[in-house]
Amino acid sequence: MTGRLGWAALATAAAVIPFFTSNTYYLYVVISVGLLTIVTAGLNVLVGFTGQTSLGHAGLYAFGAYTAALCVTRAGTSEWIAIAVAVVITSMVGAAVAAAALRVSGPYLAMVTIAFGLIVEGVVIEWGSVTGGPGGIFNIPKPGLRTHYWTVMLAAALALWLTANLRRSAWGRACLAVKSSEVAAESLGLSAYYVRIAAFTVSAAFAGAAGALFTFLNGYISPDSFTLQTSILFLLALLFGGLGRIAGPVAGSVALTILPELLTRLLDYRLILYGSLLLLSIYWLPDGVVGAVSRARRSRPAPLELSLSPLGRGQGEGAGTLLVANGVNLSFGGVAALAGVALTVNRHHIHAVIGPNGAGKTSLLNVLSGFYALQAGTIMVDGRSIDGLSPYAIARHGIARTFQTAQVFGGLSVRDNVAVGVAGPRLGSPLSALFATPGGRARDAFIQSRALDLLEAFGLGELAHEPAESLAAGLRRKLEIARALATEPLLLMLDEPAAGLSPAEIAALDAQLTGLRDQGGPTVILVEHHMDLVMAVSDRITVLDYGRVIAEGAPEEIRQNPAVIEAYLGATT
Amino acid sequence: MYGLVALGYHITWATSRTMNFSQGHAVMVGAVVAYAVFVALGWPFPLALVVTLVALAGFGALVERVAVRPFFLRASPAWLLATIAVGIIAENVAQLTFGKDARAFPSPLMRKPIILGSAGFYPQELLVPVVGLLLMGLVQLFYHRTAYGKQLKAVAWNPEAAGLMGINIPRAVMASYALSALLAGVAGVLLAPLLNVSPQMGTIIGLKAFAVAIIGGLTSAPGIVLAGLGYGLVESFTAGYVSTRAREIVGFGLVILVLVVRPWGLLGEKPSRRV
Amino acid sequence: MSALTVSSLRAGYGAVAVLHDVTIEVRPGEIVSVIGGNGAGKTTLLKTIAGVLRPVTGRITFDGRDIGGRSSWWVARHGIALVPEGRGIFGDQSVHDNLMLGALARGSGRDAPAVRADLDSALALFPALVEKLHLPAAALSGGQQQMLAVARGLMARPRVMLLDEPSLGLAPLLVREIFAAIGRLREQGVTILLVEQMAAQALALADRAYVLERGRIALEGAAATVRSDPAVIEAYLGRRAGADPS
Repeated sequence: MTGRLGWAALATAAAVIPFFTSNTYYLYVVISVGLLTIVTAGLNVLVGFTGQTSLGHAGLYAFGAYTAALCVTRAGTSEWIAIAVAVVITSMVGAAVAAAALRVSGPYLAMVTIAFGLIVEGVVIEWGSVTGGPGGIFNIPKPGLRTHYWTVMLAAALALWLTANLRRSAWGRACLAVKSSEVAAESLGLSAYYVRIAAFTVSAAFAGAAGALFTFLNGYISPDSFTLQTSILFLLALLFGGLGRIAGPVAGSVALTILPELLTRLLDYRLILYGSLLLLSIYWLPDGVVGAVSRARRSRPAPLELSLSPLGRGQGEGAGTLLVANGVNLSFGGVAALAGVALTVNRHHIHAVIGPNGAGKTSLLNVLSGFYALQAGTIMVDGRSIDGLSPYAIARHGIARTFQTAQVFGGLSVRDNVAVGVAGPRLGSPLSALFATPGGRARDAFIQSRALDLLEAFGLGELAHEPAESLAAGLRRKLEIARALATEPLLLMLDEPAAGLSPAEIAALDAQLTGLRDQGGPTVILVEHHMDLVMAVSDRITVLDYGRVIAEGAPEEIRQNPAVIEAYLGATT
Repeated sequence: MYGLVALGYHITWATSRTMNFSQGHAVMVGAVVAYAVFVALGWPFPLALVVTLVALAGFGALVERVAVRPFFLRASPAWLLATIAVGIIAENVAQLTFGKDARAFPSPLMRKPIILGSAGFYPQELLVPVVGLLLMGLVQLFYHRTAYGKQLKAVAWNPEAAGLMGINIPRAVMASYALSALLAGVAGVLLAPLLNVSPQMGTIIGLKAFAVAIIGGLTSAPGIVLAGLGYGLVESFTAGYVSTRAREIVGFGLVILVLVVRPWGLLGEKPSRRV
Repeated sequence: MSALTVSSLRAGYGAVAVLHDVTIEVRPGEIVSVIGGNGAGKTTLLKTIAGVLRPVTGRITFDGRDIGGRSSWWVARHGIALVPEGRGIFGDQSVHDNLMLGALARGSGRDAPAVRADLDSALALFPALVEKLHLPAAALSGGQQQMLAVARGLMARPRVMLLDEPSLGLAPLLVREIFAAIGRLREQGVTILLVEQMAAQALALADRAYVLERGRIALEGAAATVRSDPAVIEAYLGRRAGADPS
């Protein structure tokens, strides 16, 4: 509620300013705020939602500005067409840069984006015949300042609205999921690479639009406006305002545009000021000004009993085998983790994989889900080979998994965690997410209600709106299973789901797993230490030791198998 | 000559998996301090050199304390922006005290060029790669042969386990920053006669050195020195045959190319993926 | 007089408390074992004692001095060595260099002959390491890495050694060797706090034991008493019996 009032007040303020002042200087300042808001709103999608840092957005901003300038001066198009062309071209450039840059991360990514920015700056200066060289382009036809004021304000509002829509959509959740845990996101069928490229492209489009609008503000552009310092300023405005928050770009842009104007007498100290501001905001405002202002309300989750089984529907009906793996080898630096492992799993079975610590159980899961590359052997699922596929591609074959240490998406609510699983790779068009089209909203409503159903079935319904990172370990594990089931997998792989659970919770897990099977749910591969649970729920058991299969059979056979007894006897004495 | 500065990135990376994004500004500080004590105050060169290096080690320690330590143990990437912020501040302070204009830095090795065929160069230009190679050798020796170097390597491999060995982690990281800034100081003194001294000189040196470090591989000192030489050659060829501006475009284009083909650098170690 | 006491300790990661109210005591020369399921807080307990994690509330005293909240390097240099779960081996350095890094925290006997003597006795304890001395530690098998970790801990000449799951990932034969080595350590007068999932072996070796459940001490006493407790058999010893019909 207060949030809406704030937005209304902001909109009103922006709307009345032109009626109270005829001083063009003020209009100019507010327009600058608007332009910075547009760029940082786009940057927010990349840095705030997706967690990738760019120090090259001035390059994209330049692309937008020069494209627009050339459109009107050379091709003689109207302002509007120029802006549209600028947005399209900058998006395409952004996508191309992202495809190259996002193969790396961290300092490497920072370097690539810096390099991109400098190359653009260099080309602009060098290619004088087109860009006017160091002097830039002059005499660009521009609209009146007041008209332009309205254009920019509307564009800034649009930018914020679009990012807010995106944040609420399946795309927004996918971005945050990738930021929080790339591994878990891939296990749900999301390609982290693809999601990041999309985010970069969106942010490029915003930068292009702002660049084009910048061109029509002054009527001239020159390379001085598009330096590395500009890129840093963009990032600083975003950080200062509040990373990942919709209002963050506004707050940061206002502060960083108006502050220097107020302190013109201190021009010589401008860089000191910027640097200190950056340091201060990193130290004390990790969520920015907006984050510091908004009160975080958090209630402790009440302990809940595990009940009812969810309806995970398995496709691919019929009996027979679902998964056949043969001769699976894996070694790390000469040490064999898996040596010629064969595994056959029947449809709708619960198939346990047990063995001493370090026997290779988790390694096997990592190979089956594509996190470790298969070094030798074959794996067929549902009659198709999954050799050499990346984790997200394997997830799209209907294989879901959980992790030994539950990987929930920290930045998302409990419901949104499951919603990421429901949507999986089916994110719809980014445009329908940005503009919140009726179709997009209907999709989203469906995804959310399906997520809530699953949470109810897992007894997590009351926690739906809690941030996932506030959950205790046992509940995280439950949430992770719900999220994996949300992808409606053919095969669900659970890595030690009972670890750290109390005896009562283990009994409930037991009921849940058998319930799933009885309702025709997915086939389950269960890696577990807890022998009572394994013996109670499994249809078949494979025993690993030193990366080899030492036994395979029904629980009763395994119980009697001398080799298995020895493996455990050796461990117990 | 970028290789020398780039080694600084390697040193902090090899200890803490972080680095000083304002390494170029450290070079600038080195040049400015050397100018102040050697040219302005007229102290003898050896004394000026010592003062410069001590000042730079202090600068490195300061960067670590202000911009890296708060984030290192939390594994937060905010150090990246924080070190940039320190660099920005350093540049502004230098502007206020030194002035914005570039000044020449006299050196006996710049008086008479050596003529070789049609090309001429100053002895100073020869000194830079020689010192670079020498320091690379020392850095390699330090990390692989000395007990303290091995401690720093242990911190990089697993800070938590290194702490359990009794290694004072913040102090180790600070030492690596001081050492890295010290190298930047050497670079500053060596480059000052070639480039003239100005507060703005840091950014582009830092960026190019960073490019070199990335191309060579952050984990490999020889890779960095090799990449530094290669980068210098490519630059001077482009500058000679195309244009001065184009050398930056080509240089940074090269970085992107290398990263697309070999994301971990030419001689760097391929990071392994952990699940 | 106890060597190490932990009283009313509450600790964990960030805002999430893993230990709620833990009080334990380790007397000089003892082997004390802490057993409990996954996620019970065993590793958190050791990490908090060793200074890797900060206690939220509660006290940790060592030789009568409060060491709660001290940094891990301070604790290491004052006579407590943690052999971490997952071993914490420096894979890019040789076995020898790993051992020498262990010697860094020594309070006394820092001179070369003393270090040399301890190196020899550590290698005597784990002869398998001798021929690998100059190989990078990453080239060792899991079991050898575990031995290296224990040997490296010994190089610090600790008064109290904290062992976190020394049997983790080891072949049954190696497990026996490791436990035998721990037994020999006691004879040398090293005080040991041992965290283990292999409860049966740990209890067989220990003088006293604590059972940790969900961040709280559920049971404590002489190892023999704990071993015959019906609840412990049910939860930690009986599970193995599921696979062992005899």
